[in-house]
Amino acid sequence: MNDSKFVVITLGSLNLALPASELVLINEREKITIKNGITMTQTGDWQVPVYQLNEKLSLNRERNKKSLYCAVFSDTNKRPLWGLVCDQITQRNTSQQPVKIPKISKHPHSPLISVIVDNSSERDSDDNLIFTTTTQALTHYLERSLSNDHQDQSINLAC
Amino acid sequence: MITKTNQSIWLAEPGDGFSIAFAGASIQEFSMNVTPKSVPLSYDYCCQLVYRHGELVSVVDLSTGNPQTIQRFYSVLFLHAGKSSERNPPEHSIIGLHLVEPPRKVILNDKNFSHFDLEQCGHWKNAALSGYFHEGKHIPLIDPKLMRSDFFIDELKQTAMIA
Repeated sequence: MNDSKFVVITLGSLNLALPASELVLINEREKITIKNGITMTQTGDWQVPVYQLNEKLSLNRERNKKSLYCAVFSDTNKRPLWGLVCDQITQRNTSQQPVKIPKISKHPHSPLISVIVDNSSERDSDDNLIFTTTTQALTHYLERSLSNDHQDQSINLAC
Repeated sequence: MITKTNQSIWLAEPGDGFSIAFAGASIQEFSMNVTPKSVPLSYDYCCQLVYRHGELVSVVDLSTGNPQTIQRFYSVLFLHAGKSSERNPPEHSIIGLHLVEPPRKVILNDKNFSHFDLEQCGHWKNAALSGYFHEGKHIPLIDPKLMRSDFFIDELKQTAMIA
């Protein structure tokens, strides 16, 4: 991620950084609606789907009452794509260079790219890892997860 | 004249049912109480990272899932794995291996080489340089660089779960 300005969204114990330039809007949880079983939120003239991921980046269908916000991200043409339900969202600047996740520790389908070590904590042991991704990588990951999810449901129905 | 050469190695127990060995030069440090951080969407044999001395270190943990090996402290043997120029960008130079017991130093001689059978070493055979037969066990001498090789990783992937 070249952009040193990023937003960190908190999904349980996972801190996920995306380029700040790709964040379009932060909606409150109340502004999420469910239409025909699809969770949506309004972003200007657009209705975008809203997803909920847990700290293992698995799609979560059950409503997490702790999550208060919905962060909507766009593609490079500023077209809103989707929203992500999160517990917390903060804007950060860092001079720290992200470190690429070692290949051995990464599944090929993972949208995670690198790690920023947040050592703002006073205790060394409290170094916090912030995993970076991009809207594009997360879009591909969500598409794949939704497709797998749909297949699983079809198999269940067939059974 | 026949000369007998002795060699010191470090015996390690990764908690996967195998005993393995490292040359002293392969070892950077043994740390008894490490706080690893989980990596989402990684394989269970290497789902943890440790940040130490400014470097992000992957920790290979083959004891996961075996409740008998769960311990109070998380100990890691940090190994020199060299920077691989084949990968772009180059991989990190240190790799961690979770151990269920502290490593112990033993002195072995030529006799210990002759009865060694690499085929008895399971997944470790793909990361072994040579080996020893010691205390009734076939013990591969591991090259940490080979722990990043496709041969070694592919074999682990066959039984791996996604963490």
